[in-house]
Amino acid sequence: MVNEKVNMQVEPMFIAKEQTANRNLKTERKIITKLKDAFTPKGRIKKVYTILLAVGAFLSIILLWMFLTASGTVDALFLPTIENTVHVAIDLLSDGDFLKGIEMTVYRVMSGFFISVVIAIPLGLLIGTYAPASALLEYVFSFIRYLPASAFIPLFILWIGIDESEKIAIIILGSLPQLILMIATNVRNVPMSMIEVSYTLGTSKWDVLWKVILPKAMPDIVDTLRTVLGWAWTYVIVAEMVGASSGIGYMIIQSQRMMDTSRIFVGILTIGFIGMIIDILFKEGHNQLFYWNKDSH
Amino acid sequence: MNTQIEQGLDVIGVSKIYPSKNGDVFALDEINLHVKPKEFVSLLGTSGCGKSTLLRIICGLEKATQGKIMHCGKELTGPGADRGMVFQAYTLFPWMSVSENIQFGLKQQKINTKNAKEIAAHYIDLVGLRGFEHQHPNSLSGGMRQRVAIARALANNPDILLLDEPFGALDMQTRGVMQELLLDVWQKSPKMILMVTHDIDEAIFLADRVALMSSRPGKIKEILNISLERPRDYHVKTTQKFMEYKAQATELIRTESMKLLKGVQTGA
Repeated sequence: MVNEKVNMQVEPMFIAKEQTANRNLKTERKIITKLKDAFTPKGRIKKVYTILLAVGAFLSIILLWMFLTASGTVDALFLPTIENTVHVAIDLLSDGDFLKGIEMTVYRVMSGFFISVVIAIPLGLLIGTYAPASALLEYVFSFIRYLPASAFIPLFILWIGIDESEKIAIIILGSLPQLILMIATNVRNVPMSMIEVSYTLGTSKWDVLWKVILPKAMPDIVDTLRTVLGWAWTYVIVAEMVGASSGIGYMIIQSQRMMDTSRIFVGILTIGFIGMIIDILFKEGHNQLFYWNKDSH
Repeated sequence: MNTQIEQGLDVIGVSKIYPSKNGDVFALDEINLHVKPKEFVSLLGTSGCGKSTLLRIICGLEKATQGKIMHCGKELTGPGADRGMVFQAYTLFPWMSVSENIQFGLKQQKINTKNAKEIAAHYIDLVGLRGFEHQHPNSLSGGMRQRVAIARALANNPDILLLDEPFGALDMQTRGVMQELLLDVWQKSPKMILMVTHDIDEAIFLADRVALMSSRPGKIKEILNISLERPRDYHVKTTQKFMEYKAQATELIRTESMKLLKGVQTGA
């Protein structure tokens, strides 16, 4: 204390400098602790930072892309410039054909996926609940799950033809077995004690399926749907590359024949954007519908 | 037949044997127990003595290898709305509000919505949760959840209430409050209660009789008649009489625990 006072009298400027230095050190420490908090396993960050980081990631990809094209590291034939891609995108979007193509692709994915979901929820529920159903169906679907859907395209064209039903069949083949097995797992995760307590409240063994098991498993099932819908998108594009006359996949394969990389890029980016929007919608819907599923204790 | 005998619950020669690679395990061995209507009986024992198994057999969630469960002269098979159960694990339906949870059983019995709502409101009051009826279980504390679970079981008006360590996951303070609440609820709507616990204080404080169980094989070793005056509150726990019961029960439970420990040592 005494020393400090003496110092202050002798060299006030020096003390002031030291204080700012101290303050800087303090803010530095604060940042370090904040960073440490942010990187704690399962830690949280503010929504502002979430948005900033997410946008930052996109910006860095764009910057890298700009750098690669502007510096001439990669030839325009392999990687078109951003200006060019945006230009082509505007052209394509103002031309009705591409929009129609997007519409077709979305229609195919959604119908194939919807049919799969309608079949998969009851089947998954049965497999996850009843041992005989599991014994009968689970191994069959585990086998089918590993059959590559795209390898069936030639066969399906032979069997069904090249119309819409062939593409939808590919999507069903790709997503249905996955959905069934994943939903069965979601259903198995319903705690036994919850099922038992409903018996003691007078629920029959049949009612427990609809009144307890399904609603309890529903948040996990919707998460499964989100994941598998993403896979369904890859199947539709492959299906459209072979034996189709419309859709994003068709546009991509046509552009390859014309060596038009910018158009391929627009096609791929469109799929990415649609996928991202669906994902965000699913997450928002999940939060709204299943607000009761997050435990605050 | 003699109607005197037919009243209440009878556990008659119930054994439960689990076959295993190292020979059969006798979880329960020839259990006999009679519980009167509106009587509160605690099943007290160390973990692994089969007390929960016995409760689950009475509930109908498990089958006895031998013996049977009779209630008012009828043999019980399988679970039903006549025996409500509260588990240690939180078993409220998370997608339903407090009130909907309590109405669940009533709706299963086709009681109309208006009546079900009234009954639910009554039990919400009884367990002191007015103001929380529209909350979902995820926003409730552990103690509150178990109060809802008790209300849900009682709203169905079962003949027997089965409690499987319902306060086991709660902290000591909350546990004490919940015990008094349970006694209060039981006094206001008396019915037969069978409660499994490994907490000696809890068993004595609540029950008319404490069935002390031994393990391997699971047997009822002794039944203590608890003649503490009712209504009871927490002051009872510091009385001379309570201490005597506790000493008695502790002695028996300790011998069992020692036996188990030695079993583990020789086993290893």
